[in-house]
Amino acid sequence: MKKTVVALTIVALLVAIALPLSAQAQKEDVVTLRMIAPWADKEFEGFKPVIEKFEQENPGIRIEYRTGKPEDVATILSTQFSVNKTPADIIDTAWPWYIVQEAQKGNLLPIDNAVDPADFREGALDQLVVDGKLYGVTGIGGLTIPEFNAELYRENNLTDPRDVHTTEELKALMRRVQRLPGMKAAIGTGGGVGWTNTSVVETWLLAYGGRQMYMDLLEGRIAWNSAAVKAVLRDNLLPWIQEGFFGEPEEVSIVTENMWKKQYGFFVGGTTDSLRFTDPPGAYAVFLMPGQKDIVMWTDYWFIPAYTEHPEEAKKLLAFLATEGQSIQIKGGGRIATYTNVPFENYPPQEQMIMEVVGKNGIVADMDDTIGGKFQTVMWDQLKLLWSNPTEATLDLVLTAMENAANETRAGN
Amino acid sequence: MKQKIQRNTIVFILPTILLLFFFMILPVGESIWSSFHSNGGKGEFVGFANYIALFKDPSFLNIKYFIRGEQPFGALINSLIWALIHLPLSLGLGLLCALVMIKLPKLPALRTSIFLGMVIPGVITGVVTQFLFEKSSGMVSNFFGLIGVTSLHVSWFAHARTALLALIFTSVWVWTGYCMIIFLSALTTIPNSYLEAATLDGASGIQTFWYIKLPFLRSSIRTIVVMSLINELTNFDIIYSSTYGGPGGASNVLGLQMYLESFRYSRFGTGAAIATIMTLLAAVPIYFNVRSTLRK
Repeated sequence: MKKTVVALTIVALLVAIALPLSAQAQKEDVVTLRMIAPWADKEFEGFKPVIEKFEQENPGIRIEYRTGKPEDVATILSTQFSVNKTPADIIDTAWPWYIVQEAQKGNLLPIDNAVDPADFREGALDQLVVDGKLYGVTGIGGLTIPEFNAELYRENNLTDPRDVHTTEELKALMRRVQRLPGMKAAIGTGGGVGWTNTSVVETWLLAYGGRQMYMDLLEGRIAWNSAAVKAVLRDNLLPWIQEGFFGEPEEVSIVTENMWKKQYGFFVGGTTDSLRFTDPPGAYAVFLMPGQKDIVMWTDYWFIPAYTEHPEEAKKLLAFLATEGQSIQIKGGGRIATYTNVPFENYPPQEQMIMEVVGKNGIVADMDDTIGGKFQTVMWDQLKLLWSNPTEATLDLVLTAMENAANETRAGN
Repeated sequence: MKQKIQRNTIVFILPTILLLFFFMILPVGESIWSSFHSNGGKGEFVGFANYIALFKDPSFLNIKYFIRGEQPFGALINSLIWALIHLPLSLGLGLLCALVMIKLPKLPALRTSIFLGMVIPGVITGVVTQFLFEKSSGMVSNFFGLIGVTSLHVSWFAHARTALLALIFTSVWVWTGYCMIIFLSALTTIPNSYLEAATLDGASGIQTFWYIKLPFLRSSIRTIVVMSLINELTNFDIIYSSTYGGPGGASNVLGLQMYLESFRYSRFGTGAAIATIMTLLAAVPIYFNVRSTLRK
């Protein structure tokens, strides 16, 4: 018995030593790139083919994917970068300001020759350049746009919002929508996360202030608490909130679900929702506010930490994700490409519908994602206050807080 | 012999001292040191500049709005309000539950359900309670709607006047179980002869509680006060996962403000200053507790 136990122990020890050694030998033949991006569930199903295609074309490279939201990843990165480490070789973020910030600190790898900026939407990569070097690329994105279930309007013989031409017509339509049985409110309000209210403000600024005002705010040429900006929001947004068109805040996935269940007339969300609402076909629809000529587009960005152990392989992957990867990923629906060489036919029918509505309208960058830093947190937070107490005094307070935060962020404090 | 004992004592406590030094004293010291250095650049020594800037920052302390009774009051005042409301409520409810439980036959399921809040992670609690206080489907919000209090038949987390209260009540639910368990164990140590003697002498229930039970509960109350205050001044997870300090900073607290300054705005000096202030505030009840214990 004793001899058997000793023999088994020796065998177990040998196996315990041999297995890792053989795994280590295998590992040396294959480079594993760790990737962090926010997609899970259906969205990840749309991204998986990209990983598979890359691994197919590059047999010596394996990709290990992890899900991570930008705010959670930023927290982890701040501690890891401080000791020159990185949890991943290639990382997705929704914040171009974060790429600029970390590039200035020397935490990111310049990727100049990996892609040709001419292959992307005009100006898409400009905001990722620091001291003449490119530190990131754009991925796929989405549009911030009012979305609705067209069946709600068909079933109740109401005018489709796409056929409305003035604000008064839209308000009158929403008053009729509010009175329908089972309606929670005319417009859904997202709670929890703060970006849903910023989507509304961005859309309203474009519709009633125009592209120039929006760009002036984005680039700091006009103050948030200036008379012109205040007038646009006071005269065009506050009355909507005061008249009760916006419902009580609900968690964002619930409010979009309820919009689909015809409990809201519309919700200012993102075109990524088209991925969830495919049945019945043609019911998911988007429209532009009366007078709106430009649309906010937010995108995902890819960057490579300077502390990666596989810089060349990571650059190869980054180039793939920014180009062919986008062509594959948009087939899954819910996204718009920033790579201009993606054929229109690659887009699913829902996205083709969205592109037709968007038409030749201009695209502008997402306000809080672009300015970022403290401004983003303050904008998210302060707009919740405006929704809960929609008075001119609160508007003054909110705009002043946002202006102060914008100045602080730009000053790099 | 005395000398030998001292040498041996040092040898035995050295590992603990080393652990405490490297994992507690050194990091705390470094954090305090960071609080005296600037946020940007190469971190130059700036003395108390971070602290002064903090007390001038309305997101940290907004006395003007506090006097007006309008949120946001600032993270410091919100944390103090949290402690003022949370402590007596959780202490009182915990004691009440303990006094009831000790009279009832053993009901482990009931005790477990009251204690459940303590075992659920704070992040989960924050997510779940958003639904409890929601206007359309929330139990709490709809209860007030049912009894005709329409001003509270709203989504509590969406309004500046109710967001902080919703979080405090959530935290009271979590801590009541902890207080109940501490009080229950103290109540079981009271000799029956004392209670019987009180009954024989004609003492009423209140007199029995005040003159017999309460003295036995003093050390438990001290423990709960210290632990509660530390929690109230340093909480973070429930707020982070529910309101994120909003709307408009109405439910911002010290723990969240420290996180925002350090990890969202990359202002580590300011974040460290808040951490130091939190440590000093939490040290106050600890000091009184230790002093009281040593006197005994």
